[in-house]
Amino acid sequence: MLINEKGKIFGRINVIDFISLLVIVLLIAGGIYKFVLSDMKGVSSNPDLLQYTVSINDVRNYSVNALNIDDKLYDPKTDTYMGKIIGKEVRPFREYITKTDGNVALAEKPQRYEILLTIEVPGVESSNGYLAGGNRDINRLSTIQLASRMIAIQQAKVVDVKRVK
Amino acid sequence: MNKEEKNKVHKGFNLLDIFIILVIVGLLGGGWYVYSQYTEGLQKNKQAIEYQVEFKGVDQNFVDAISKGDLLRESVKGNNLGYMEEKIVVEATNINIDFFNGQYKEVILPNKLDVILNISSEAEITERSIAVGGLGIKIGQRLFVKGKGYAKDGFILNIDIKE
Repeated sequence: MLINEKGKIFGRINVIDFISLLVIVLLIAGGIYKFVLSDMKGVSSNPDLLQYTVSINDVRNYSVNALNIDDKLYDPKTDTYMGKIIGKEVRPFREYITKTDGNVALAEKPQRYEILLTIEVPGVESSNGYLAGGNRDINRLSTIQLASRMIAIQQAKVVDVKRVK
Repeated sequence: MNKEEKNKVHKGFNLLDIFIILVIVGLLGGGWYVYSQYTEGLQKNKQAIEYQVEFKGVDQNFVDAISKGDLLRESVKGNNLGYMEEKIVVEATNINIDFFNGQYKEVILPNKLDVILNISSEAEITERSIAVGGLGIKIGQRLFVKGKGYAKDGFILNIDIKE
């Protein structure tokens, strides 16, 4: 019998002791996976270098000034490293407006800007796509959240992604 | 003395129990060490900052209630956000769409004001974050602010780290 009449597994270990030992072993294994193995799994020792461009629309000059070359960006939800800003272009923000006569006009919004950020990040190019940090999908036209130490960007639209190295 | 009795260290404890207790004590000690290193790091990185929060479209009596030196708190959790240093009051504006001409128009809202508060605080600063009173702040973030007799949501416009 696995457990004898005294409640001992294989006649040696108390059931409560066994469960406690199991919980501790699982906690240690979980800790090792979370803090050591998951990092190793994210990006291999020789990752690809990905470059992607995001468009941040309809923002004020405060946001323009808060984003600078060499700033490091993170995913605010998962804390994944999303790369370093290597390029920044600022344009007046323009949007199509459907007029009362049914025609469409491209209108400039006062004091609002579009920022185009070019970002470089170690990652993985696979047959399924591009993964920043090995685990965060980067797809054209998808919307991602980014954050630096100074600023939170709720909606950044990916307009381009490629492997550069 | 049989084998089981040999394994007993004291009455009621066996070697496995001792091992489990040692592991738990070790985990607690390790956890305490990591936490103390983290909080010590935060203390070392405390710096003075000044940041701006904008309230849009408020009334004059709301503006009048805000005074220099007011202690500001996050109105939901009560985090200490710092002290109000200066208020900048301008006419409230909005950007509307003129569908007839197909353009945007900046308009002034009658009897409404936009107010920007300059707030000074001590902040915990790391490579990734700036926190006041334990609350992370970033430009563009919505913040629920409460002072003496007033409360309003606003947006953080700027953060200036003092040298």
